[in-house]
Amino acid sequence: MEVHTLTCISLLLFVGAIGKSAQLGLHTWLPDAMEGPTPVSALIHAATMVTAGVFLLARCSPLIEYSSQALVIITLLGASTAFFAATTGVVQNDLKRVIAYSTCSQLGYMIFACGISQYAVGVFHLMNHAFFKALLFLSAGSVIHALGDEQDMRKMGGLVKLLPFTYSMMVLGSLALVGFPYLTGFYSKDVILEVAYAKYTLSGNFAYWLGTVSALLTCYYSFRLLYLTFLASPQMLKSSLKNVHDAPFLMGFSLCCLAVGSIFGGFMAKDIMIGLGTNFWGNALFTLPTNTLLIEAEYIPQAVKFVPIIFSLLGALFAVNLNGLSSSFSYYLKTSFIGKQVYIFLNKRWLFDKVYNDFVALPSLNFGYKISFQLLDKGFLEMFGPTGIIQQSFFMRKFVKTIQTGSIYHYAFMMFVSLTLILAFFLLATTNVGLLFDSRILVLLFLSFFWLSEK
Amino acid sequence: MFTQNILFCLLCLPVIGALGILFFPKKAVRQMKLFALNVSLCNFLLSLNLWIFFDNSSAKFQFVQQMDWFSFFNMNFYIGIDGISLFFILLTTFLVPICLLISWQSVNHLVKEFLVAFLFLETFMIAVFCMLDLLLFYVFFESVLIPMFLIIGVWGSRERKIRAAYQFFLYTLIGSLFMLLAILLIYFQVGTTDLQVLSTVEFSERRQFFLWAAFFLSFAVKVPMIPFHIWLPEAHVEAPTAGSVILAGILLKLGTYGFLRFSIPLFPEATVYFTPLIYTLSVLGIIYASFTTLRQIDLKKIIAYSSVAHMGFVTLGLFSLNAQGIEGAILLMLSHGFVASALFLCIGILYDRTRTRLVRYYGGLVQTMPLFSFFFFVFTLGNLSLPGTSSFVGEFLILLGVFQTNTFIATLAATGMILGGAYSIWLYNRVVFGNLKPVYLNQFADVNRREFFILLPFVVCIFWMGVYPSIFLESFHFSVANILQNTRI
Repeated sequence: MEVHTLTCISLLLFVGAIGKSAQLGLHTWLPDAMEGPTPVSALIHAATMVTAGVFLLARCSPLIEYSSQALVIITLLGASTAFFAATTGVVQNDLKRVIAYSTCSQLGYMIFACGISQYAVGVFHLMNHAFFKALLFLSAGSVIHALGDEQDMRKMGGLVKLLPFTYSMMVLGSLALVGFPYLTGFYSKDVILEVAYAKYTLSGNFAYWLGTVSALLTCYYSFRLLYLTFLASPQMLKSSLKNVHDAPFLMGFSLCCLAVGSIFGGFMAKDIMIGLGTNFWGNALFTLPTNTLLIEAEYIPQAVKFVPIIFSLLGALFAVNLNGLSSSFSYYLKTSFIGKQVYIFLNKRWLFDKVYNDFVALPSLNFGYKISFQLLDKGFLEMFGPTGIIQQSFFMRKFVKTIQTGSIYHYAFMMFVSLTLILAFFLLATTNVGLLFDSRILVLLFLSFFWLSEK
Repeated sequence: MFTQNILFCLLCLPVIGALGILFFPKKAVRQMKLFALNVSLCNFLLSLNLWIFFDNSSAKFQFVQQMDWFSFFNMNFYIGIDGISLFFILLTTFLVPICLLISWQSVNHLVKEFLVAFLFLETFMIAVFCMLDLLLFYVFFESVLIPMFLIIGVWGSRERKIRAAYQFFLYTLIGSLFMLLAILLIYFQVGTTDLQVLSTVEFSERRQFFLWAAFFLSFAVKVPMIPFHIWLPEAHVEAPTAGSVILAGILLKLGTYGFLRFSIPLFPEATVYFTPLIYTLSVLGIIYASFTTLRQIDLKKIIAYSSVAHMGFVTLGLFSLNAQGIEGAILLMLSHGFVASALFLCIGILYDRTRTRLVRYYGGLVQTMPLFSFFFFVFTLGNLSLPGTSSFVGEFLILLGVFQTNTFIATLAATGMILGGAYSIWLYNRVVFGNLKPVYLNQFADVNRREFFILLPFVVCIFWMGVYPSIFLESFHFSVANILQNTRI
């Protein structure tokens, strides 16, 4: 079977990136990992470990650049991940899970940025994302800590006056995330969308539209999170409301550092990372000359450049509208027949988990027990092995017991008859008549004694 | 003079120790154990000299000694080691004192017989690895079964031990019957059973097929390969901790060592002809055994089935017939000797306290036995071949070697690695994390000093071999190249 080796290599390396960066297909671990402590989530599931996949792709850019099919697949998968995670994050109820899906979505952005050969932009977004995502996670941790380990957003609310510092940090993080003009996210996220449009290929357009819709949804769930956690009316028990306290100095200090990065990081690092003609990357990132798009991205229609901002505003409006102002309408929407199906589909993460459990995990475990252990190991192989031999020897024992009567006349008779038969067969074998009798019939006769004796 | 006789000393010292123990009175249990431990430790230090004085740059057999046995029939007591045998002998002499230490408090009745059986077992195992005469290799290959049978049958843990001991003994013996026939056939053709002479003999292709198949039956039961593996879970579950450690650590390697030393160099055409069979059985072993492991409920059975999976990798690497594959296989054998033995030691430590091996009774051990959890974690990482541990080096080299021969098989074997991770982490999760179950168990003492110092060398060795395997690999570069040259591949 002939395969283009570089495509094969690039795709297999990309599978590693799928697993590590929680792309569609191997993404199921990321929301489940939110069971761990929040600082751990902030570090590895937002900033450092999950970006290892993006780093792998950027590092292997000399390899994957030469395989255009792999690049297309990377783009498509990254864009799908961004869209999938954004749609799922919209209807999650756990605070950290929303942020986890947000991470998954932004990783999709980074991956498809690498897929359209803009590794510098992808890595730049990686860097910026680290700031505001860690900020979001740590603020979420502050909220959870304040409420005594309560993670469900539906049981929060009204914290804007009680946790003003955390609220400001959260707002900063969210604004940076949705690409509010001139904050960090703006410099990388909007550039990604622009170069996606400027690619003018099918995969580039696919990525652009999915990315834009994801930007809308990102804004929606970020503002929904803010609204439900801080601005809505309080939904929690009075006892937990009594013990609410804002972040202590140590927590607040980390949040401040990250906030500074979230505000200024993008602007400071923009020219060095994705500026035109920058010398920063040297030989680290390789792009084929046909794939360089930064100049092209300057010449896309003006309307296209405004689309992300408009969509973000729309998303924010939807969020405030559906969750706050006309929440009865959204309730009606959720409980209608179609709305319920859509809600369940999105809340259950597009039923990926169910498919994986029912079609991969359960059959494998069934195989491991019913087939390989019960049927084969303890069944088939033992029948042809010890258990079978033991059972056969039971039968043979009964037969041999009946033969051994102890009477010497029986023994003499058996010896006589057997001798006659053996002589007959072997003597006959030498004559012409004997050609009709094959001496192997003797063996069959011998064996038939055993099978005949089975009752 | 000293280096010349060192192998013979290695063989004789445990026997002398065993005979010496026979003179102890029955009541002097502690003195007997100390004496046996001292003998085995002296043996270990002696075997280290083998490594020190080993010449890395030659493929010849070193420390060779020849003693006449049936010199008229050209069957002599001919011992020597090369790079491959060296580390197996070291592994043996390393594991036996550990086994004696782990059974310090759990073996209380018939201690004298236990120690005698163990020391004889040590001699037989060392003899298997250094024997250069085919018939004597077979003799010691089979003799290993006898002390093992006694150890499983007498000092095992449940009533099913008799059946398990019988199954173990008879399975291996029946497989080896064919090997005996093959050895007789070889002797009648060649006139000698000296390995170095046999390496130069060219058997006809048809005869090679038969001889290879006969050897295969014997080694396949020992390895164990699917479908001859069902003795292993039984034997492991019923054996005492020391028995399991030796079984997993050394006895499984006898089969693959036999493949490497005899099947591949002596019957090269048959090896190439039967390679698809071995590949199929190995990959089946890896995947099938890994799936079975996922559903087991007995701690020892889990590690036993995972041994089947690891040995599947080893045979895969051996029959890839290139340097990376074979060196990876040898390294994985050594690494598995450490990791599986260490895991059985951990299970033994748990069993000593709670007398149960069912996973559902365990949970949350990290809260009460943190040191033990750390050791268990390191060995779990070794079991799932995490990069940085020795198993990874072995498996990676094996996959490298197999990929050059057959990419499809390499892909399937690589998916087996995923399953390895699955069951290792599942086991560790269930036993160490989660909630304690004081309804079932309430013995929570952490590892005591003896157990700590038993487990520590394994951690060191696993990481040493994982981070800097070159020290080990360079001793058998030349020997492996010699074997490959012999097979004219």
